[in-house]
Amino acid sequence: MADKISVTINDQAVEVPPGTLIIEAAKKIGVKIPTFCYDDRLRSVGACRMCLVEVEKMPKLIASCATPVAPNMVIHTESDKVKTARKGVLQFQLINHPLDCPTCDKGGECPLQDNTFLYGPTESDYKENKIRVMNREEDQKFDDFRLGPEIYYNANRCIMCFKCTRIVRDLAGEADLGVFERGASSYIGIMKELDFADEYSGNTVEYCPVGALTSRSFRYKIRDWLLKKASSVCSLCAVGCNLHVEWSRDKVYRHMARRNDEIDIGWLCDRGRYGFDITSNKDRIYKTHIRRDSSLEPCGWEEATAVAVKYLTEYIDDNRGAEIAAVGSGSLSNEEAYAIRRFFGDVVRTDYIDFQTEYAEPLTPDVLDLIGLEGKISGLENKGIYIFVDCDPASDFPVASLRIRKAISKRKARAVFITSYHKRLGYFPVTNIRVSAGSEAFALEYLHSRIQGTDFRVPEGLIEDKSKLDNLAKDIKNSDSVHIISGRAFFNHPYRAALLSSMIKLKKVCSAGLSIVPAQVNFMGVTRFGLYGSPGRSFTDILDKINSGSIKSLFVFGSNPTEEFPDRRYVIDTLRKLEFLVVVSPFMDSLTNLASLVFPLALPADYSGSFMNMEGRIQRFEAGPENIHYEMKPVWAILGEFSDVMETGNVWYHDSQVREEIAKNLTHYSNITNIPQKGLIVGLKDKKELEIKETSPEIPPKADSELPYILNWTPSVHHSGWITQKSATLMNIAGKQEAWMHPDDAAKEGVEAGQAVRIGNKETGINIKVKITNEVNKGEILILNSFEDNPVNRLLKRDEKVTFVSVGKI
Amino acid sequence: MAEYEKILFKNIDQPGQDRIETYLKNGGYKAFEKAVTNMTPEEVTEEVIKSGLRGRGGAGFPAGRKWSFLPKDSDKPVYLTVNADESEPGTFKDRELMEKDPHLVIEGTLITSYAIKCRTAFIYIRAEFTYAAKQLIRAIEEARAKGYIGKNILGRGIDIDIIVHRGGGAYICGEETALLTSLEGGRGHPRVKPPFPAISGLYGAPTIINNVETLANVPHIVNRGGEWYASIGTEKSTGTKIFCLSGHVNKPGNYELPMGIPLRELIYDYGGGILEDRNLKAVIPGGSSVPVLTADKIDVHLDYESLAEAGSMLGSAGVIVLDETVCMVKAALNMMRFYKHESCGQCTPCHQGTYWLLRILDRIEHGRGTMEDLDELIHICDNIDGNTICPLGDAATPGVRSTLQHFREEYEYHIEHKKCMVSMAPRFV
Amino acid sequence: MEKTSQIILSEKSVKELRRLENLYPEKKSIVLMVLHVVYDQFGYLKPAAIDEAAGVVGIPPIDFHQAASFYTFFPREKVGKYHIQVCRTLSCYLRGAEELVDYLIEKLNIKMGEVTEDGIFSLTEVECLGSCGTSPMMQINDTYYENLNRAKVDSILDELRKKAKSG
Repeated sequence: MADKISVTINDQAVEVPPGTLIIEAAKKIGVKIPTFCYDDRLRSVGACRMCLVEVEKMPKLIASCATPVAPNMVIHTESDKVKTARKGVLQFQLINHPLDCPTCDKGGECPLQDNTFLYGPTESDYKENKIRVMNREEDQKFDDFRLGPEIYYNANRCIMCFKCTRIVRDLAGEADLGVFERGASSYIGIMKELDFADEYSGNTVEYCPVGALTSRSFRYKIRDWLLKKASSVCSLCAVGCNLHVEWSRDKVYRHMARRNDEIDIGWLCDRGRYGFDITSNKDRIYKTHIRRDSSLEPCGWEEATAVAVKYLTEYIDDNRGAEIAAVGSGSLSNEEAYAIRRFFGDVVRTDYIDFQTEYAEPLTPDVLDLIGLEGKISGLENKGIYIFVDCDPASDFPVASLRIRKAISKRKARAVFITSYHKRLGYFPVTNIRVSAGSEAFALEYLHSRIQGTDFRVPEGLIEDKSKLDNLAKDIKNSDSVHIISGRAFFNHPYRAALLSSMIKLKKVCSAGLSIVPAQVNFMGVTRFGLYGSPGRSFTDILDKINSGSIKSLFVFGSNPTEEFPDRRYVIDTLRKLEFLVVVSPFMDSLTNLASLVFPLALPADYSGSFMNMEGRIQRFEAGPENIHYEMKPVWAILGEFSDVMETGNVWYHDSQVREEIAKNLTHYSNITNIPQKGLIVGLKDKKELEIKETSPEIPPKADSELPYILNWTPSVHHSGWITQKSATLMNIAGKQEAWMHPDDAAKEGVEAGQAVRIGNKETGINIKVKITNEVNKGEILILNSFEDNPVNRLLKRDEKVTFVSVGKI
Repeated sequence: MAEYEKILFKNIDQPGQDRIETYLKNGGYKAFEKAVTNMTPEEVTEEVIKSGLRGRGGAGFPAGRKWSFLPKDSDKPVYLTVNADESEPGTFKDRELMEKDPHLVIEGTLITSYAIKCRTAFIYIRAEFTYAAKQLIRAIEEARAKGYIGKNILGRGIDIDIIVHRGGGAYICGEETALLTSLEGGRGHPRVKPPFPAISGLYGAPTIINNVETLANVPHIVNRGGEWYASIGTEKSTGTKIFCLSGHVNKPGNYELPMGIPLRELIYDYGGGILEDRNLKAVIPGGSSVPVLTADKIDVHLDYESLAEAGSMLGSAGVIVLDETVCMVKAALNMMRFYKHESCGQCTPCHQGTYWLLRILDRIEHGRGTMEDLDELIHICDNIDGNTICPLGDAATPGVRSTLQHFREEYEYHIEHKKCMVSMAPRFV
Repeated sequence: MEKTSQIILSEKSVKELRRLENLYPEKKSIVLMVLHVVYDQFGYLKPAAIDEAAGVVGIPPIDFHQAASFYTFFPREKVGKYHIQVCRTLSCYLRGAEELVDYLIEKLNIKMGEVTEDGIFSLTEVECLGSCGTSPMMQINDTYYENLNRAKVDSILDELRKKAKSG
């Protein structure tokens, strides 16, 4: 086959590869063909007929969105015949379309509006009464039907382009939205009592070509043309999807996709999309606060700075800088991480700088090198076997997981979960190999032995069905592409060393890729730009040192150990011992409750900077809303002001200044001053050569009759941690906290589905509703989501690998 | 009345013809045995090409040529799908074949499977044909017991299985790509062509879709040769055709006659003339999707070419006869109600266009029409025709167009007098 | 997702579902056949039965509900013991389908789309059933009744009513 096909479009010649659709060939030479149902990322259906074009020697007009070019085609996109057909299509589409553009959210950014303006008849011949589908239920406005907690459907506006159903079904593999009835009566709908709220549901609203699908959080709030758009990067996981922060005055109204084909291909997950309102949470801090007479009160910025500087100066002058510690967060920007290292390392002269507040066992440098994606996000579409070890791709890296879903749907890839509870990638076929909680390493060692033909004995009861591993071993032997992936749960895994050791063994035997995807957006960046606390200097060490009295004060930047650390009581008790606790945070919460001084921290929508995503790509994000009335600042600006008062240098006025300094001081990142549109790839360490101490798997302890259940917990796609909790929209979607129990356990306890129970131990517990499902192991309880008012880390103990709980009726 | 040799219907009224014993006694499965023992698949295809057999579902595409479009070097399985979703208003021939002579359909399916190297054939039968489906399933089990279906058939190392798949009640699934979507478990939405099913059909694999009647001809062609078959009928429309005669005739029913016989012969000789000796008003010669012919076309010959010349189409050969008492507006409305009901909902011009046409026709019928409506009807038809994925859109408009063209005065009468110009004689007594 | 217990599907239905499961090259093909199984057991598409069947065969329930609303063969709500469907399309119309409908409405004393009080009959109009040469006609459950006239309708209804009452 020829590698190029030449065709003529509107008298202009163009050469394109075989298989190129006519609409794409036209795009290449700047000829725009109007369409509603076409999306280059979705299967073409050719339904709307708006893109009809005339091809010479063809008797009928053809759909340019569904027809590939053929050699020497002569195509006309603006002939009279085409124009007439377009007018006809538009007139058909509008016959029952309510002309409610003035109150429709899509107005201003509506393809139907635009195309009608450009190609449509100015008047309709339609003389019949318009059919109006009305929603008679009370709590809804106008004709909208609630599809889920966030998305509403207006059947009158819908033109049946099937984009939404293709997004849900073909892209996400979900089955919560469908087409019902037939012909002119067709509509988009859900199954009764099953909400449309899958991980990617918001994309249907963004790409709806009319105002049929709307978001509860956006509708009737503001017109599209009043919004300004800032090019930003999502900060709610390590994928780093590009997005537009759309804002007006001081408020963010929504997030919309900003297509980057290397990363997101224009899709957003609901966490990223609907987390837009984190910035306007009611607990947001806009001013500095100081503790007076045991209560926090607002104070002037100068006063707060003066108090902090005075404290710091005393210690610095006494050469007691090492009694001060600084803790950042994986959600800070590269510039902020760098600023913390420079200020606390060089000026305060302390080594106690870290960010690892989410897990009790800090990472050693060799393990740190293993964090991140091996390969590129775009490579996740490649064929092969993807083995997910205690990892939930839908939550850990939602948009990147779409690539794996695509590979599965094209039968290029298969996904295997080694997991203690059932996991899924929509309805795409996957294999779940269930192990008891914490026993993943046994499964991997066994798999390794099956590939090698060696012997490995797995203790009884740890793996549900070993034959699945036998089969997997066979498949691996026949595959030249295997990728082992773990995620957020890795960091808190009770037997992390053994797990890692087994993953590396498996990696070596089948030359697999090995990826450990961190939870936080800039884990990769902050560890490279200064926030990693080497052994003895990590957050856990800092807590020890506070307890032993050798650290007197702590500066916390953007993290929240009281919510994150897997032992709430211990953290709170420890932090209470501090002489001086400075909290730089976007929100008032359980941590600021303990603070001596509080500075308002800017969130990524408020300032500019850069993040490094899971594949080692540095991307810049720009500030959104004007916050001239508020005092939130990025960390480098706050520390820069300290420096200014202390006259120590290190004063930064702009994020680019920090990057210039990074480029100067860290040669590996010398081009960070020039971040291209698609991001700047910096090489991560090659994982092929990495050696890790071999650790044998360990059998988890058994539960006793007093505390008979092993406790697991997991965040969800809509609620990934304390930050997402600040989004009212996300909380409306995620909404619930559930304890999953096996049917046998529920029967034993006499608990019914939906019943509230107390899960805990003698000292403490949380009240939570039960979901009964065999997707969780017998003898284990899985808690979905943690909330500030019912935090799971209340039940956790930092020195206990496995947490045992009892279930009590309330 | 001229007598013609029956081919498909030769044994149809023989008692027990639906049982394999009788079928075998009457020479059944001889063609299949001949094909697999004495002919290569290519020779079978060649014979069918030679016969000039054209698809009996409506489109009239040469069957053998269709088979020859299959890719020669595909590593995917080839599927045969028998289109038994007979739903074109006025058509009821496949049903009779399947109910009374199911083995003939099975044998045609087996020979075709052999010719196209298909190992799994599907018979997609419309949901309402419960009895026909039962007959087919039983016939398949009988044939399986005799070794005509299954593994290593007749010891020739050929495997063929036939699955009877029941539809769900949707006219659109008679369209070949909608049929495939439906067979794959989806809503019956037609697909854009290309790719044609012969290249990428069922499960993305090369697929041949043939109508029941088409396949029923194949055993006879294999038995008696393509040349013999081509000698029947006209030059371009070869063989016999089952004409489904319905409406205002004395003897409605299926008549197998050579292609090209005059319409007059069918209606007056075979159909026994018009009920109560009334005058003929119009004939729809190829199922409700083709244009109406006026009574003066009574001498047209029933083959693809002659009917096209007369301004209509042979379609599925569902010949619907309308006598002088029929209100053509009402008839057009009846047909449009059908197409609006059956539009799948995919293409804008079809689902909105049929809906709009129906509303206007309904208004005219009920005395609320205007003269402008008549132009609007044509305008809407113009905007539908040729602009949809599948032919349903194009099939919905001929009824309106041709009645407006030939019987405009009835529409105008409706608009002016707010009632029908003629009223139909009661038939249900 | 596996269901632990069957509630309403009969053993026969479940057996048929299991047979269908591996019949086709691709499992999703069985959607319509599964609807037939549910219809055969209940006489209509009982939603709970669809959901249960979906669980048995491991296909998302929405696939069945989408199909159920597209295809018109299956009643979606409970119908009479004898569900009468009258063809109204052209050939039948020409032979008096409208009069047949009027007659049935009068005889059964129900409106189109309704079920008789005793639950024995329900009445609906449908599009072409492929019985144009034997019109007017109606389908009652799975059986075609053709070449109808008043006397024939009378005797069909009488017989079915008798049959329904005798069990």
